[in-house]
Formats: sequence, C-alpha cells, structure tokens
Amino acid sequence: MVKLRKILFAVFTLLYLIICPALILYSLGIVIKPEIKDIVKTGVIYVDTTPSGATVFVNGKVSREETPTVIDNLIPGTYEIMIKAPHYKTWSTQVSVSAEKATPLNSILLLHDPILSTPISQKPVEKLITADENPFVLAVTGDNTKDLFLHLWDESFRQNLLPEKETTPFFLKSLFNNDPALAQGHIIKYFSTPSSPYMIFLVESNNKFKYYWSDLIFGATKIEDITDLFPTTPTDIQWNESDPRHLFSFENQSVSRIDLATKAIYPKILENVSAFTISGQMIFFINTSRSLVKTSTHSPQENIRLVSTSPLFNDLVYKHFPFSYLSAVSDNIIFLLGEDGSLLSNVKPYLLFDKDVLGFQWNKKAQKLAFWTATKVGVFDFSKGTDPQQDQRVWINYKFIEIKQAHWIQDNYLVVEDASDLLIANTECCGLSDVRKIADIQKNSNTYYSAKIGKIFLIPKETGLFSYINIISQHSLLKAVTKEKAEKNTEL
Amino acid sequence: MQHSYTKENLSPEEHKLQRVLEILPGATSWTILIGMIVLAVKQPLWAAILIIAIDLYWLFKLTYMTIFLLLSYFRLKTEEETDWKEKILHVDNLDHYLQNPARKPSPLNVAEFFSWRRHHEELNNLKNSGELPPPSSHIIHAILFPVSKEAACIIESSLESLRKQSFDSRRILIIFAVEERADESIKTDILNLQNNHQTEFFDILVFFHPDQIPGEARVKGANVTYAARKTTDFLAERNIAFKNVILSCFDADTIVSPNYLDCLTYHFLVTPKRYQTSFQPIPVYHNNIWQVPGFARVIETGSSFFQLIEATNPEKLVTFSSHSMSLKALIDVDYWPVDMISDDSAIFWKCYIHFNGQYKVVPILTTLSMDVAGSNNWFETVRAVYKQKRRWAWGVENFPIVVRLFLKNKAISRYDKIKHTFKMFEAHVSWSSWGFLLSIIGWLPIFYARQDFTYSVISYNAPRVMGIIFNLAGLSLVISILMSLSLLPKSDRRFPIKEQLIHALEWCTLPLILTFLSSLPALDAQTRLMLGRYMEFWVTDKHRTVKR
Repeated sequence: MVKLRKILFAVFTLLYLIICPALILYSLGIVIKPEIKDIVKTGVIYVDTTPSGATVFVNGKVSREETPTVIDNLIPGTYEIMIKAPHYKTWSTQVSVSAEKATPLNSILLLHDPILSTPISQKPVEKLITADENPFVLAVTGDNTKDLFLHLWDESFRQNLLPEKETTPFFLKSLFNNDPALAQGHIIKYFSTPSSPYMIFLVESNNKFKYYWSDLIFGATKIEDITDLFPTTPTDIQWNESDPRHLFSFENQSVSRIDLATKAIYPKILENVSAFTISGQMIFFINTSRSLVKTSTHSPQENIRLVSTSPLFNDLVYKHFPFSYLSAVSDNIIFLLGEDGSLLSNVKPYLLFDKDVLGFQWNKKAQKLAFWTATKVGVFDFSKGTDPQQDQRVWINYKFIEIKQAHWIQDNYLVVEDASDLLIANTECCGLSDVRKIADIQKNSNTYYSAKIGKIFLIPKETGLFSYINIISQHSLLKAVTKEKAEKNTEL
Repeated sequence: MQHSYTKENLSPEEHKLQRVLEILPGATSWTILIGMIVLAVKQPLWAAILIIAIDLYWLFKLTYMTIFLLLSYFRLKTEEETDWKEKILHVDNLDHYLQNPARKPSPLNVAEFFSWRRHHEELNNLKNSGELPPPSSHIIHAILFPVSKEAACIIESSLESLRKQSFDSRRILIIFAVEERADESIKTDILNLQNNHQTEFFDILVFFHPDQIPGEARVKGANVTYAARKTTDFLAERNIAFKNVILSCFDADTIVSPNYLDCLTYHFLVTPKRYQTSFQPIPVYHNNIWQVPGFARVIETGSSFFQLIEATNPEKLVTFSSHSMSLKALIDVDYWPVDMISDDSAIFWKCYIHFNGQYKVVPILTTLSMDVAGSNNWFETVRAVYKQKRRWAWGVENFPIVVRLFLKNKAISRYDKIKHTFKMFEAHVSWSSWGFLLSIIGWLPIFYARQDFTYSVISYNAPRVMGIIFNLAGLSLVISILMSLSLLPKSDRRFPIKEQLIHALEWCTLPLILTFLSSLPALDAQTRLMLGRYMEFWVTDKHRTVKR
C-alpha cells in the first residue's frame, strides 16, 4: 500500500503540474490551435436570449449548446452570429472578438414570427391614455367623456370589477357612461401620477370647466366632482402615490395644497415657483431665482434648501432656466427638462444633453435614463458611475424620423414610437444598431408597455383597434423574476 | 537526551519559540482566508486564477483520497470474516506454520487471497526480524475507561461488548479512571459495575483521580495517567510482565466487535517492534447514528472515512481517539501528558520523539464504535458537534511542541522531521481553510468582478471550469454516499430504505457541514492557540437511547 501510495502521489502530482497551467491558460482564453500550429489568445462570445433555448450559429456553424451559452476558443476577428428559435424571427449581427476578452450578447430579445396583435376593442380607437406603473390603460374613441374607456390589463383587478348582473369580466369599461350629465363632456386635460390609480380629468361641459377625480380600479369606478377645490385653473396638479388625499396644484407661480378628505384648500403654500415635482415627503421646485430647491410637504415654508451644493450644477440650472418639467425618480435623483430642450440632472455629469430633448424615461432597476429628441435616442447609464474621462452617454445607431415616446423593456431594450413605426432598440449590444420594427401604429396614438405581463398596448395602423402584442412570454417573465429574487437574496 | 513533552516551564527562549509556533498555523490560515478575500476584491482576475488552481488541487486530492478510501474499505471488508484466533495460533507456532502453510486461496477469491497473502507476508517479516513475540496465552488486555459524566448505561454497554469478546475474558483487565469531581451517583454506578462484573474479567479496577494535583490541568490525560500508574503498581504486585500487557484507552461509550481483542492481539504479536508501536482501529460512530440529526451522521461518517484513508498511510499515521499500545512503551515515555487536551495524538508524538523516530502506528482494520456527539434537540446537537470538532482540532497544540522537540532531537532524520512537520502543518491549515475556500471565497471574484474583469474571458470560463471540477468531485460524493450506506448499521425503524434514501440526500449538505462544522471549529481552535487562549477540556455531550 505504501508503494502504491507513492506511485499514485507521483502520478497525481505530475498530472496536476501539467493540467493546472493548461486549465488556467484555457480559462484565460489562451489555447493551442493545431490548425495554425500556434498558441493563440482567444476570446469568447456570451449569448443569452429571451426566451432561452435558442440555437446559435457562428459563421454558419451551429454552436453545441443552446442559449444561454458561451462560445469559446474564438480567434480574434469578426463573426457573424445568427440566433434561431422556432416561431421566432431570426436575429443576426456581426460581432468583433478580441483576445482574452468576452463579448456579451445579453438578453437578446427574440420577436415572434409573425408578430401578431390581439384586439381588445371591437371598434376603432383614436388614442391611448397611459399612466406609468398602473394596471390600466385608457382608450379614447372620440372627444367626449363617453368616448373614454378603461382597460384593466392586470387580471387580479379586473376580477373585482364585475358589473352587476354580469358574469364575465369586461375588457373595456366606459368611465363616464353611467352619468348622462357627464357623458357629453369634452376632455380637455388629464392629470395622473405613476403608480397611483387615481386620475383627474378636466372636462368642459355646457361651457363650464369641471374637475373630476376618479378612482379607476377599486370597486365600481368612482367619479367625484372636485371643481370647487380649484378656484383658479391650475396648469399642473400632482400628488404623491402614497398620499393621494393631498393634491398640489400649480398656478401663477405658486403651489397650493388641497385636502380631498376635508375639502380644505391651503393656498400658496409656496410662491415664486417656476416648476415643481413631488417625491415622497419632499417638494422639489425651481424658484424664480433660478435655483433648484427642496422642502417638506408638511411644512413647506420651513427649511427650504438647495438640492445640490455643486456650483456647476446650480450654474447650469440658472443658465438653462426656465424648465418645463421636473421629475424626481427617487429622493436623490431629479431630472429637469428645460424649455430650451436641455436635460439636466442633479447627479454628475449634470448636463446630460443641451438641446432639443423632448422627453425621457427612467429605468429604476437598471439605473439608466433614455432620452430623445425628434431624431435621436440617447441612453445614459448611471450604474457605471461617473468618470469624467468617459462619456457615459450612448446613442442608438438608427435614423429616427419623428420620435414621440419611448418605453423601457427589461434592462436594455427600448420600445420607440417613431412616427407610425413602433420599433424596439437594443441599448447595449451590437454597436447599438439592433433596431427592429414591431408594428405599424396610428400616428400620435401612444403605446404602453406592461412589464408585469410582457405586453405592449397599441393601436395598429391596419385595424385601428385597441390591441396588444406579446413581447415577452410568461415563462421568460417568471424566469426573470426568479433570477431577480435570487440576486436580491444574494445581496442580502 | 530526554525532553519534556509540554509547553509548561519553558526557558524564555523556548517560550518565545513555543509562542511563534503556536501562532503559525492560525496566522497562516487567516492569511490565506483574508488574503483570498482581499485578492478577490482588489484583483479578481488573479483571484480567479488562484481559485481554479486551488479547486483543481482539491479535486486531485479528493480523487487520490477516494482511491485509498476504496482500497481501505475493501481491506476492511476482507478482514471482517477473518478468524483471528486461527491466525494467532499460526503466530504461536510460527516455524511450524511457515513450513506447513495453509493452502493458498484462488486469486479469484480476492478477499481471501489478499488476506492470506498479507498474513504470510506478516509472518515472514516477523520471522526475519528475529523479534519473536511472547506466547499469546501470556497476553493481557488492559482496557482503560476514563469516566467523568457518563451514565452507567453507556458504560454498561461498553462492558457488555468486552464480555462478549472471543478473547478469554479472564485475561481482560478493566480499569475505570474516575474523576474525583464526578457526581456521587456516577461513582456509585461505577462501583456497582465493579461489584457486579468483577468476576467476569481478570479484574475490574476503579481509581478516583484526585483534583488539582500540582502540574496537572483538568484534562483526560491526567486522569488516565493517574489510573495507568496505579494499574502498573497493581500488575507489578502480581508479577505480570509489562511486556505482555496491551493497554487500550477507550472512550466510555466505546463498543467493540466480538473479535476486536483477538484482532488486536494478532497485530501485536505479528508486529516485530511491538513495544514501539501503537495500534489504531477505525473509529465509527454507530452507537446512536440513527438517533441524531442527519448532519451529525454525515460529519461523523466523514470522520470515519478520514481514518480509513489515514490507515493506508501508516508511515504518517497518528493515533486518534480510542487506540492501543504496549504498556511497556507507555511506561517508557512516562504515560500521557497531564496538561494537554489532545492526549490521544500527543501520546504518539511523545513516543515518536522518545524513541527517536523509531515509533509507528499500525492500523488494524477493524472498527470500534462510539456515540455521535448529540443532544436532545437539533440546536444542542449542532453545539455539541461543533465543540467536539473544535476539541479534535485542538490537536494543533501538538504542532509547536513537536517542532520544538524536533529541533532538539538529533537522532531523527531531517527527512522524517520535515515530512511530519509538513504533514501536520498542512493538515491543520487545510482543515480550517478548505471549507471556506471551496464554498464561499471561491465565488467572490465573480461577485466582486469589476468592469475589466467582467468583460474578460476568464469571467465566463472560470465558473464553467469550476462547475466541471465540482461535477467531477460529485463522483467522489457518490462513492462516499454508497460506502456510508454500506458501513452504517441497518436502521431499526419501520422504513429502513426510506432512512437510507434520506441519508443519501443528507450528503448533499456536505458543503455547509464542511464549512461550519469542520473548517469553522478548526479555525476557532487555531485562533485560540494563536491568541494564547488555551481551551479547557469539555466532556462531549452524547445522547443515546439504550435498547433493552
């Protein structure tokens, strides 16, 4: 046994001394290529698709594993990558592989083949009214209030709203039809808050302007006339999603607070305000002195202070004043859209773009901001930190015509409404050239993406009906949720 | 030149050296662990490379150990049916037998063939050595049981197993070494045992070890040394030659198989340098194996496997737990250390140094069974197992003493000193660090990967490589599971197959068990030694439902 032990020890030691460096070199991408009789530093391509299980072709040759997969031992150069899956459109791109580097093709979203839209309405719809992070979409078929319909896409809410004497849940419910007096009104404007199920409608009826507060998802739809609470016509009404009882109206450079429960009005709690927004218990506003300041909603006149002490940021605010829109995406991050088309943020690099910006969308999970002009879409990645040597901003490599809106899908895709094209753009890979058309839509009709169910709500040009398209399957959504939970547990 | 095997009463220079050597294992373990964490955060690329090398080394070592585990297990199984009495007769009639050996079995009957071949090799070695043994009829077994808190029913079971020995019980001397500080009820129970069973053996001696003898710590070694001295006096009064006495120091819960003492007798007789040899059986923990939580079953089976593997390397084998040796050798080295917790391993090193390296351990391929450390509930069992493993890991206290004495001893070859020093050091450092490296730290480079690492080939290849390594290691796990199912006694519960299936699944918790009930207590012990916080002896809680 002792002899055997010594022999085996020597053999294992020798094997280890041979295999270990070879394995390390392989892990680094350094391999021997017999065909060229040389040691080569290779690279890898990582391919991950939604849904998974797709077949990958590299320069026409099929990869041994389905996605997610690592294609290794690639000599530096350019490769044609093609991804195929049954019932999905083929996706392809050209990828450059560098020595000892990995080129990730993360979460490539495969589109159904064909992309089918499923109608919800039976009659044509003019446009959609959407409110972010809410379980509903409003469909508008005309100018009157009777032409406003509610669609609850979240089935758990839909089940609660069975009208009397009906046994099946509705797909589209008229909001104002029950009240004849309201049904002939003309909607002038609406106000909403992300993640809040309430909306306020400014309705013109018989030459009178009325404000209606509506609760769209609990019980039967409630509509309450709150016109008396607005002695003057506000240009904006906002509220905190966790405190819908208190409204903040903005008019004539002042902000007033309204208590819906007691019907109390607290006029001009803040004055000399150019623009404002609410986040949590804080009001952020630009004062007429051209500074971005903040204060508490409970005692707004006390402790008004600058949001940022950075002279550079405050100078930028001063320079690009006035601002048409403020958005506090968290207590720490605020975006400001100037009337000159500039886009600012209170975190570095402060000036995100200096002109023609029409809108922006924040991706909370990925900490990314998408913003657009009429012809360009840019993405700013705040998760990578701010390096003055490096521009964190990237542009989608596509010639847009007339961008109206953009929505985030997952962490790295944007759905862009470009004139009558509905496009999907990858914001991470492939030189940002991966832009594909999903559908033709009615111009200026709005679209809405529900991350929970992986559907886009739209009005296809061909049918004009309020419809939806499945973008991400339920199975892939479930996988993503499970993975997210596992990552959160790891962090904890 | 004799040097005292102790860390007490050292000269200032020796004390400094002692402290440096006490710090070394713990410092090395912590350096490895903290170093790897820092490397994973600061240089994830280099950390990933190192982790691959470590994981591969672990795979090779595991494979190497698994091969010897299988060989040792096979050998254990082949010796299960051995008629030791017959083999003892061959030794007693050595010349006659060698001239008229038993018929050689067919090589197709593998077990018998290897057993026969081994037996003949041993007999020929004995004959050629010229160191012929005493007649087997002169051999007396002295079985020493240290008692502190153990219940009478536990000891009774051990006694019962000795009564059932195929070896003549009239040549079995039982010694109970009872601590004076033990409860009166314990003392009464022991005396009752003595009264009830004295006539069944050569004798049953009971010695009460006084508390607080100067120079002694509150350790088991002090108790058994006291009893051994008294036993020596007892044997001297009866003119029994110490050379004919084999002393076995058992735990109070040790239960031996009926042929254990015959097996031990045979190995004693057939070993040429029997007075410079310890005899190490394979400890298993089967007494209450099905009464404890699954993780305790897994870890104790793992301990048995470790001893099986060690048994294949007698050149580096060290005594552990219940073992046996010649009383003569014990007297020559002045008994066990009276100030050390790890008396089981310390006695080997004491003998090794005393005999200038001419001392070894012979593995005897038979098992003796003890209790799994356990308690009435799951959490208390975790605590009990943790403390037991920490006490075992406290064997690191031998390292500084052995190295110091190696430095002074000129008779032991440099090669042997280096070999033993390296093995001891590597064993303890591996014990405390492997669990953490494999289960937790190995994955940190991926977790803390920075941008440049994230987009490197190794960030994608390393997890795949590690996955393949762990999958290959899974083969060893499967072998371990199968062997453990074979080794374990059959469950007496209603659904034994179900128990076995559950036990197989319990092995899947091995990474957790290795980390928190093996590496962590080892690190704890080494850290205490490093900081000079020497451990008190703690009698292991054991819980067993005794069937009537």
